[in-house]
Amino acid sequence: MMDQNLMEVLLVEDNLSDVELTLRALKKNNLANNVFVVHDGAEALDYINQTGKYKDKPNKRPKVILLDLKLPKLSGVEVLRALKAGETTKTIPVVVLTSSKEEPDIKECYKLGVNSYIVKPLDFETFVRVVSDLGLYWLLINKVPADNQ
Amino acid sequence: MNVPLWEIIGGYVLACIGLLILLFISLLWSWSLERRVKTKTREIQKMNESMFLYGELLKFSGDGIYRYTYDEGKILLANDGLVKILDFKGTSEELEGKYLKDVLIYTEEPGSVRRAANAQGEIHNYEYHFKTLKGEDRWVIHNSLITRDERTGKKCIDAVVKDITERKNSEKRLLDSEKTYREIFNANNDMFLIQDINDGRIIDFSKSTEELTGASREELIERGVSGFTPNDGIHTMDKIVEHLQRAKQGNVEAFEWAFVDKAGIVHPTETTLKLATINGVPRLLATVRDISERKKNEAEIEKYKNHLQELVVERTNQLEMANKELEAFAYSVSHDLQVPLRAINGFVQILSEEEVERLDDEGKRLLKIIKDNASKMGELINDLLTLSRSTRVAMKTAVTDLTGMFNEIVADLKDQLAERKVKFNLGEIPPVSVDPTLFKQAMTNLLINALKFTRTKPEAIIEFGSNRQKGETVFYIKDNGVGFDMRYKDKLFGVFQRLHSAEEFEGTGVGLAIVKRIVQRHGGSVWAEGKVGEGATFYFTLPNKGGEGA
Repeated sequence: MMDQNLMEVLLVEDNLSDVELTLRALKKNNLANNVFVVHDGAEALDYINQTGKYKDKPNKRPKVILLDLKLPKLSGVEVLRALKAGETTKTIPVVVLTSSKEEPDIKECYKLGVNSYIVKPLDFETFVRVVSDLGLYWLLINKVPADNQ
Repeated sequence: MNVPLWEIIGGYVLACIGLLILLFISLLWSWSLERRVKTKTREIQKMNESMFLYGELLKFSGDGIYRYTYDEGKILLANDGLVKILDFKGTSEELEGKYLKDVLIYTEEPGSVRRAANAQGEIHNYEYHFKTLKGEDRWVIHNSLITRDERTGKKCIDAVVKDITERKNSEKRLLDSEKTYREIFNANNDMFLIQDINDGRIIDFSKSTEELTGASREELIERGVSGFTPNDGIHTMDKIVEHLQRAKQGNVEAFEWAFVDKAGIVHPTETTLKLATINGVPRLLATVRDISERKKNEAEIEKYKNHLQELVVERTNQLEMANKELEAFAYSVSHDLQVPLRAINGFVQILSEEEVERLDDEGKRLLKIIKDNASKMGELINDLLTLSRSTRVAMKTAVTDLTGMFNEIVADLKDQLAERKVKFNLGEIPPVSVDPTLFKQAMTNLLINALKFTRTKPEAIIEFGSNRQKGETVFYIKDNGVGFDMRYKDKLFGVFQRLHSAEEFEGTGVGLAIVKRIVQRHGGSVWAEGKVGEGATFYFTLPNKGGEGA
């Protein structure tokens, strides 16, 4: 278990290969250590809201949530809707990181208030570039409100 | 001798008196004789006149007048009239002495005339038929008297016969024509009714009327039209009267109506009312056609039509469902298939970056094969998604300059154009109404195609132009590439259909299928012409109207 205090990215991804590839991409910029991974939508909400198995485990709010859309239990869109509807959670930046470049998905996510929508490139080199750029941008360049900490 | 004077005088006187008396008597006789002669002469004259008249009448009468023996039928006296009626070859004198049986052909039992006589031996207006020796029909009216011949004392018949053959024939013709008319009247399935012009009373009707209404002749006459009118608010007597009135004024009234048969079943009809003169009397002729069957069929068709609409709705729903499924499928493909593919790509990449020292040349070659195949699969998935999207996305048409679009695409493809010698010839292109995003996809595919198959040429010449053919604009993209065999022209636009091996020219076989979908969605058509080694030309049309967007 990584240090909760270092947690800056919440990665919501059920596919272990994608998790590893994402982590590898982040690692290229030494950002991998600050990532916490959950594997379905319900777990993501539990983590953020400190419910379920995260009830008694205080954790830091992530600087950004990397959210896949196709997830077990609750889909990424449902997680996004819940996050953006919650008074305390709606300020957390959410980046959808998905394979889907379907227009309805993109539209729906923006309607719900997604902060960014990224289509995972098929090609690994591009993927690495995109994910590391993403990490750098949200963790180092972007500023979030102070109470998000 | 002396005779006294007085005696002499007295003698003379007496003689004179005697002479006077004698004279008187002779005068009287002569007068009476003359009278008698005169009377007789007059009588004879009269008789002669009468005889003459009788003879003339006998001779010239059109009727046959003759006397024949009661038992044997031997003609004793005959006139010319009889000669004519019998069509006898000879004179009336020659007829006398002949037997009737030898001058005519009996068609009735012998003795029928005699038996028709009354107690006084008179035969009145007896219609008698026979045939002449030639076989022609003859009808006569017999007026005869059984009498006795003065000379022979034999029982005989004096007869006057009138030829009524012509009348009989007319009657027969009339009857025949009446019968024919009746048969036609009755043979039809339609009902014919003859109605009184004033009150619509049924006067006569065809047999079919009885059959269709199930009512007897008496019932029909008695109940009249009103007895068979549904009176359901639509088919009322008031309306019938209106129709009758109009027909009476000479209009041919044709209208849909209905009647109730005896069993209470309502039959829809097609009724025509027409003024007609029947037997010299103005009447209304009603022709009534039972259209129950037709109405039933119409109802059936209506039902099918409604059912068809239901079917269409049902099928549309199914189609919408199928579309939704397709969308879901496309979604899955776009997501689920790409995940493992990215993993393969990713880990192969990691392997070739981080573990490359531990791989020998064969290992590196195999790794490259995995990588090439993975990227090939990536292309396939991408093209399939594009194809699916080109079918699904809603079209938003706008007036578009295709030349501008062409140049844009050339700019987009500058990577592929590097180190290539390509000459673009642009012809006159009129503005078109298309969905720019979709159409750019189609044009891109066509251009990529042209570039791909001209790769082997030292200089590629790609021409984009248009011309008018049969009243519509035909656009074309022509290249000087490897071309294709026209035998396979139908395969060009099929999904996954390829005319070249992957070694020759890479590709997924989806590009032209996408072109076809997009052009078709715009209401146009697409085709190609080519020859191996001599380039290919791809044509497409875009109708001014039509297509989904119009």
